[in-house]
Amino acid sequence: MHAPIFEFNRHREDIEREVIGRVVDAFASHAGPDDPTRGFQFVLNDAAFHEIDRLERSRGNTERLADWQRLARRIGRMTPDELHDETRRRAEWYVRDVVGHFDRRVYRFASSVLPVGLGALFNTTDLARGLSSMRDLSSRIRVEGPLEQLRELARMGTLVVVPTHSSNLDSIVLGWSLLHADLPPCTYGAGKNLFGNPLVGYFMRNLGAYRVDRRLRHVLYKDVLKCYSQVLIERGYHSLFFPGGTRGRSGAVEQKLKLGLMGSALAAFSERLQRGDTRPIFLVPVTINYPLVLEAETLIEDHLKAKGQARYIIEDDEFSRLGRIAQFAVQVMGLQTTMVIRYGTPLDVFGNPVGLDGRSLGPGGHPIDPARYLMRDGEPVDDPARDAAYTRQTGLAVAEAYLSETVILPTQFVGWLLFERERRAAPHLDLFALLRTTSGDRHDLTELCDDGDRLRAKLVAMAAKGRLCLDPSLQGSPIDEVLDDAVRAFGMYHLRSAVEREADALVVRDPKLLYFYGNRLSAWEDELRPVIARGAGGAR
Amino acid sequence: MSQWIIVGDGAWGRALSRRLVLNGHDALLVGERRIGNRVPKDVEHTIELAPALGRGERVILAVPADRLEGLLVDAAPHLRGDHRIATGIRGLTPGTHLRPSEAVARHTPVRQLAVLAGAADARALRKKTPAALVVGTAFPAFADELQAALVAPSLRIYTNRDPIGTELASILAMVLGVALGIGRTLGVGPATEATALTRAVAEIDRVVCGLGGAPKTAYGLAGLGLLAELAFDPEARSALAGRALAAGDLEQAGEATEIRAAARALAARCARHRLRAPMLTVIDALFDGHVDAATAMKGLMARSARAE
Repeated sequence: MHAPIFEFNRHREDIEREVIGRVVDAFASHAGPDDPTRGFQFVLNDAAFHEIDRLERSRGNTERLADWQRLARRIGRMTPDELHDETRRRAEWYVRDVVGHFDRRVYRFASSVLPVGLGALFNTTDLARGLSSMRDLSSRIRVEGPLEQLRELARMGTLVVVPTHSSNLDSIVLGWSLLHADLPPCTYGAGKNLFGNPLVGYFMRNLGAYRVDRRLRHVLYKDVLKCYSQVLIERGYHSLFFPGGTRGRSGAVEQKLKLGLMGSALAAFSERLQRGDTRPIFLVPVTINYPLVLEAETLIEDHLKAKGQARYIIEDDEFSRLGRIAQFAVQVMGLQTTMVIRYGTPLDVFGNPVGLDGRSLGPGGHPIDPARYLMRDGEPVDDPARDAAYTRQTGLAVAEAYLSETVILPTQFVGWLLFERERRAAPHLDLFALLRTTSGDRHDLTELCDDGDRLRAKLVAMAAKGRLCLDPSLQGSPIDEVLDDAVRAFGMYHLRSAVEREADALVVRDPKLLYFYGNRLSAWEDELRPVIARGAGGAR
Repeated sequence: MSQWIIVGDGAWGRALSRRLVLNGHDALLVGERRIGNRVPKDVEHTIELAPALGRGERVILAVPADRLEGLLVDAAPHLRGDHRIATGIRGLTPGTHLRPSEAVARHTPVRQLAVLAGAADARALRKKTPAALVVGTAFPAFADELQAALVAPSLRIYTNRDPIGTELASILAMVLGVALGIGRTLGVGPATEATALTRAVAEIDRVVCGLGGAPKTAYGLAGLGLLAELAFDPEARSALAGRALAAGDLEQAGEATEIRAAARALAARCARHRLRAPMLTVIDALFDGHVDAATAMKGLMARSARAE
């Protein structure tokens, strides 16, 4: 499918100029009648303060530290023109650092080798079987949802794909799913640390991904990033970003979303309207459902650490070790259960569902005009506070879609079932005590099957109401086979299996992993808890 | 001056439309025009909802909670993204237990919502006695519109950014006001009434925070303000319902249908979210006749001790 990103390089300099111009103009507009330098002084002071603090603490680039220190000393003495030029110079630097690059040759190469490469990665037993590997891959990664509709919407407007995020493999498998579903490639912002990864860094640098340095917290950088993503959407580049911001550490379905980039979609829609461009923008929530998560051990450790925030950017997890990725891929290929990438119902930028013809629909299914949300007394009105409130509402709609489009897999089902039985057995223990003390607990298989049947029945009823999705492997098989499937899966990849089978019982081996996988069901636990039998639990 | 559409021509809807007209706005009142309901001077009246919604984008809903969802389903095809809706309704929807503004968001495409609550009722507006209302909304421009449209020398309009808390506090205060009426009738004395009042505020705060509202909203006009009004007014509907319940007159208490329905729906919602709401639970049980007032009070006092 043709995509605007194929033409990216031709427009790159123009895009850069537009972003720099807009960012600098926005600060210029902050000038007060008595103080024409206010906007520029603030932004430079803010950037210098944050950068000096960061570089001093990290003992990073001494040259850059000295540069920021020199600037910080000069700001108070700079003339308005000097302040303007300095802000512009710094903005230019950041824009060039952020902006991606698209090379069609690399894309052609990637689109021919990615399926085969991923297929080979996921089936190292026979590297020569490139094409058949691809077939095997599509039998191991299921892509589902309203794909035909999305293809049509991609032709009539701009897609902003917003997936859940649980692994650094997400962008790769999602890229494959776009290709596999004949959807256009998207530009997306990736953590700058990933560009250093030998496996994907080269492709990311040449396939339109833009660099997001999450260490930079100052207004100038954030505005550059936000403006760049907005300009891309405005210009019709299909985009992708992870509203969770970073990989979910706990294993739960993300519900707290970062709204900055979601606001870019709305701002782009508004800007387009003001220019008379009526092409629609569609948000596409996607859930990526892994039976096993590559970085599960590191992520859950991080979640449980009191100082989790300190390791916001993990640079030394399983994703940085090629051997672990290969091992993961081989093991996932051997699973009975498939990985599921589920595209949800597309939404407009206000969170309303979109019909087959691209029109926004109200709750009763009536077509509505999204442009009306930006009007007052028949005229478009600029109102940032209103748009911020709209964005919060859209965030809630995406979070709700994440729940209804989540596909529950056997590993998550068994993780929740066993960990809940542990909670039941020791209600007086807090989470950390449970995690410390439950390794080795035995769960009688007959009791477990009874609880599992009830839990499954409840989930089936919830799935029938559209509140979540259940993987077919969880629905159709006898419950003891579901348990076996999950136990086998747990045993295949992780350094230590979460649970093992011993005669007529399942034995907990790694409670943290059980907790991690079970957390996928935590959003519904108030309803699920009552189905577990009273007195259920592991025996020690 | 702006066009406002007020849906619901009961005492509250009529008082609001009169207030708008006095401030120079155009008010279109939508309702059934029951016998005895006089339409205020210069207020236009219609029974046709759909064409009325096409005439303006500023809407105030002042209908009983039990009629709200049906009305919204009818209204939805005629509502647009630029419509702004304020709800002035005390009660949750029966069956679905939704807050009124929550029901608007669920059944219509309208996103700009506000809640109108506080210690000013239709009588205060009509008689122009000094009083105040609060507008809770996440949309500051809509708050400004409502504030400017309704403000008067006898009516102060405050704003806040917590529509959820404002709406819940107002409904909870109406229900918990029943306890104040019970206390007065049983002749328990000012110390007991003061205890009931302060514990009611604490309960409102707890439920508001548990259901997504902000701390402190309970202590504003919608919560404490309305409770105090009910405490000072022995003829308020909540006080009368409390008096009837204290006397064991379930039939008369049952006439306060909106309070009874709100108690039922709130108790169910609190139970679903596992929120502790002992006064609310007791009032719900009193309406059902499961317990008498004296026993209920003993039960409340006998609960285990805890920090404030």
